[in-house]
Amino acid sequence: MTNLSQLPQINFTQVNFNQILSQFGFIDFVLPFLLIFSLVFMLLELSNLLKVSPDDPVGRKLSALFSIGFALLSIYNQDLLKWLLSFIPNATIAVIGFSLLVIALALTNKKVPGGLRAFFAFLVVGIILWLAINSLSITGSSSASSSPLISLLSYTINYLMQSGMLELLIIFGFILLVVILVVGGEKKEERGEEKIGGPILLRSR
Amino acid sequence: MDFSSFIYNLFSEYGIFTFVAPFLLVFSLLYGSLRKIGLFGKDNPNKEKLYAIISIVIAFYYLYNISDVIFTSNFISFFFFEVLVIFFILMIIALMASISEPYKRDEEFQRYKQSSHNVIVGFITLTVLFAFLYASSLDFNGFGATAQNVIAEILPALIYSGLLPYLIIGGFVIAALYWVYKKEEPPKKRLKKRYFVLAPAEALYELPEHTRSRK
Repeated sequence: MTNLSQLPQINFTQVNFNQILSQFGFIDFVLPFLLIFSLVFMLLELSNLLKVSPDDPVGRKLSALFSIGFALLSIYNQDLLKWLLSFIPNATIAVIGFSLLVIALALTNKKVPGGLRAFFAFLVVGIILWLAINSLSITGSSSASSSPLISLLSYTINYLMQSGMLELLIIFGFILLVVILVVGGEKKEERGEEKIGGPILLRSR
Repeated sequence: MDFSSFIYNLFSEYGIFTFVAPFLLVFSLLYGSLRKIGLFGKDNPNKEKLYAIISIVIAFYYLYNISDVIFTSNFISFFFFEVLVIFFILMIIALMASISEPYKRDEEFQRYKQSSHNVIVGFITLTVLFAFLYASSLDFNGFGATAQNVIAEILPALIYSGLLPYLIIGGFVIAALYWVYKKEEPPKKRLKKRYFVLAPAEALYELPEHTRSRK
């Protein structure tokens, strides 16, 4: 019988599963291609752009060809792959977070009222846009960070923060809000007084 | 060299990115558009062949300029990223819509909501402009160089040609005429500030429903 210690020792180097996937081009090539192809094809089917009628088989094939061309040409821009790698995981965390919120609220069996609903809508838009801009700016100088829009945004935000203008603007905004609230309240009262009917003598009392 | 780089290099060498993909894109777009608009009549028996020939010829002309192909690559990749961002927003919004009650108010609120919807659609349309700006910012020698310089050249051109003073004076004259001949407007209703916040949010919640209801 052979002893276990006599068996040849095989050194397994620890390889991450993600590394294997990326080695075989799954993350850099297959996944972006599938994502872009499916989204663009879906949008084309939705818009019926290349179809003569809703059941046009030639139009569907043309949509598929267009989507393949779109996906391949998009992958040619390597920055897109970096943006996707940076944006999608974070955005998925946001999706999971909001799903948990939905689950938690479903337990209470109560519907979110109008005001809070509006707050959630703006929160979602803000978070996703912030993640998107973040993923654009991390990809280096040769990419979207050199785009006029992103550079203008980042320049404006940096300028506002470093010069102390942001604090001033917030304070002035707050003062303006208070003034509007106070003045608006007075107008309401005046209207309320005008609405009071009856003889003038009684009103003056 | 790992497998993904190998595929990428192979595709680049064999012109998949610079020849096949842009050809498919332009050919399918042109052929589909020509079929849809039916430019050469509906009873013409050779129309499909003619559409195909025209599309192929234009697609090859387009491929002749490689900088345009690279510009298109940057353009559509950024546009796709924006579409993905909108997709994520709509997905979460649709999720949140299921647990909240729509804010239903008077007709004025409906009007506010309709206006907000139009503004949101306008912003979504602007994604094409943002993608164009991005592609222009990366293309210093080709098509983007002209686009970049458009704004930078408009103002000097106005100043040096002497058009700017005429434009300013003309603007003042138009403003004065408008002020003199302006009709007396009835006093406006007091705007409901609350609607400025709630109506855009409601319009956002309605976007996935609009998309869903399309056939």
